Amino acid sequence: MTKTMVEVLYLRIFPAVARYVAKRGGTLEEAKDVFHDALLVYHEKTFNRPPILRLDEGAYIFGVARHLWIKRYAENQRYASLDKLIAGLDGDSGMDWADDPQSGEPAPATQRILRVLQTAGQRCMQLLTSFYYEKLDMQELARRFGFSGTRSATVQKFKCLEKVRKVVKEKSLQYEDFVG
Amino acid sequence: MKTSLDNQQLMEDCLLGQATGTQQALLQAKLLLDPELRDEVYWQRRTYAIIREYGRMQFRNELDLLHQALFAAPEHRSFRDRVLGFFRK
Repeated sequence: MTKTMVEVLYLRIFPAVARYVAKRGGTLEEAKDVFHDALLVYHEKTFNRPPILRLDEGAYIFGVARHLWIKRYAENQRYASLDKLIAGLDGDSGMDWADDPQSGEPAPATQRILRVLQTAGQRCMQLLTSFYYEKLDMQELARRFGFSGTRSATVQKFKCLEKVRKVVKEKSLQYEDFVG
Repeated sequence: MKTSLDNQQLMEDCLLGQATGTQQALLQAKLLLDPELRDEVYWQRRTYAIIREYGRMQFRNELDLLHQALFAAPEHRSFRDRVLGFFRK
């Protein structure tokens, strides 16, 4: 989704979500929280296929936001993960490959690792998120990051993956030592 | 241990569900023989999950900036007033 598309969706749908949340005694912050996650869920659905702005996109995003608000604030599941809250929402089982083997671990470990990667491995993380999260194909990846071809993009992608895997392992074990 | 490109591609195809039955059997065989590779598979899966969290974090940051911009921009005053109006008692 381009920035313009996101802005169009924001201006069109956020007032309805805010109205829904306000009517039930919620806050602007809660409305923003569930709306942003609903946009994120929609954003992930548009990977690999060009999004077309239609009226039912609005209904879908509003529906997800409403579902999240009920789960998080009316049913008080504030700390449940987004994946858990949206599981089975529309028959989508989510991204199995990203099932975290340590999903039961405390979130601070993941937050710490993300902070380290933000400062120490930004370019690698940009490359890896473009491929694994946005699902760019190798040609697009090579173009975006200025590689001579798909072969060198593939080699660099795996170098980055190995580097990041090392950080993830080191920091996860460090954190286990720290809390253990 | 530095994993070869072939092993990395095989591991990735299997973990992302893009491998053939033969490739999956090959990885299973390698896993039986190589405990270090089993360790790598575990951390690779964890790394994919972290990459997704990183992508999500970036998108949420962009949305926060957009939210701030829309609520501050004079041209979106009616949008802001309308939204804030819902929360006034």
